[in-house]
Amino acid sequence: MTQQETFTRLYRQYAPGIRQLCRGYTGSATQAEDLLQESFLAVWNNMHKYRGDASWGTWIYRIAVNTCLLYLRKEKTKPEKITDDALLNLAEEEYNQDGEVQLLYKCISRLPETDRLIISMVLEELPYEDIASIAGITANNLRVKIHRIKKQLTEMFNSYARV
Amino acid sequence: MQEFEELKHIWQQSTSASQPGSLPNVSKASALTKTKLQRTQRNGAICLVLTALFIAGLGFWGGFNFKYWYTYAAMALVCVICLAQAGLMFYIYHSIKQIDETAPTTEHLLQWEAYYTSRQRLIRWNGPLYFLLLSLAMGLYLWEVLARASGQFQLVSLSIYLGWMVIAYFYLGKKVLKKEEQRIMDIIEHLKQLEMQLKE
Repeated sequence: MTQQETFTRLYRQYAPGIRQLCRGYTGSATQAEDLLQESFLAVWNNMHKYRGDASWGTWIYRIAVNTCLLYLRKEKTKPEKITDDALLNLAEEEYNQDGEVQLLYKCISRLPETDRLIISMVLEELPYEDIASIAGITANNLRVKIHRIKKQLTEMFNSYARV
Repeated sequence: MQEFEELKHIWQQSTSASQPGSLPNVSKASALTKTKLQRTQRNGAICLVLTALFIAGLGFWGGFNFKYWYTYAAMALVCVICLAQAGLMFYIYHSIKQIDETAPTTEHLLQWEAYYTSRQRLIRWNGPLYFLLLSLAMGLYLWEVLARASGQFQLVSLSIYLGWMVIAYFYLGKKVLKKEEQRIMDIIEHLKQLEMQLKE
């Protein structure tokens, strides 16, 4: 299989999940699309480094997480700061199936940067061992984090969804 | 009251609706910080090498017929300074290239922090030294070039040159350096915050 063919296969398989990760991270569909493109450009540029120590999925998510964290360092690309009012409006206006999804993205984008990425991977049902390997933290540390983030996110979502 | 499992269900509905979309254009220039920084250093270094070659060409084939050896030495010095600066920029380019985007996040953040810390140390001496040496070489070069001009022209030229040096070094240079240091400190601070978030 050529590099192009492998890349195409990987893109088809992982792009939807990575897009969600980026969407949860930025809270913006446009920025998520940019990040998706940048992440896969990085995948293409680093394919020669893949040694098979981890699965392709873990490897690609790792690149995407690193891309996301560095991307937001630039002031102009910081995610839109979502005010409480904006979230309340969103909750009021769009509380239907699509509105729930939007609200979830917005709630995630209010969490600290690394928490957004971790919870997005949890929501994508990546195994905890893989998430720990992507982030470079211990499995125990990850479990504690996930427990805290889940609670925080659920509370936040409920407080806005109830409006 | 939504439980986390329900949030997961909402999330997965949007994942299943999400299509991969068109393949990214891999020949497109990346807007990523790493690629941009690399490009800046590489292009800057190439420009400096070309400048050094141009000045060396002028020295050899320009037919200036300078009277004093130190005028040619000044041209040589400008070439050496440009090449040394280009060497340093290539080194920085290489350091950025070494940062591994495929490493675990904690490691990746530490690599960036190490890069910016070394950059912080570097800008404190590199910029001022580069400026001083280049000004010195230019002064040496102008010594003979201006010797052929009238006394009044010499005085005006020297005043402008020294005035520019003073402004560039003590005002512009310090201002730029301070701004750059602040920018790097902010980046390091943000990287540390991300590392802390992962450690907590």
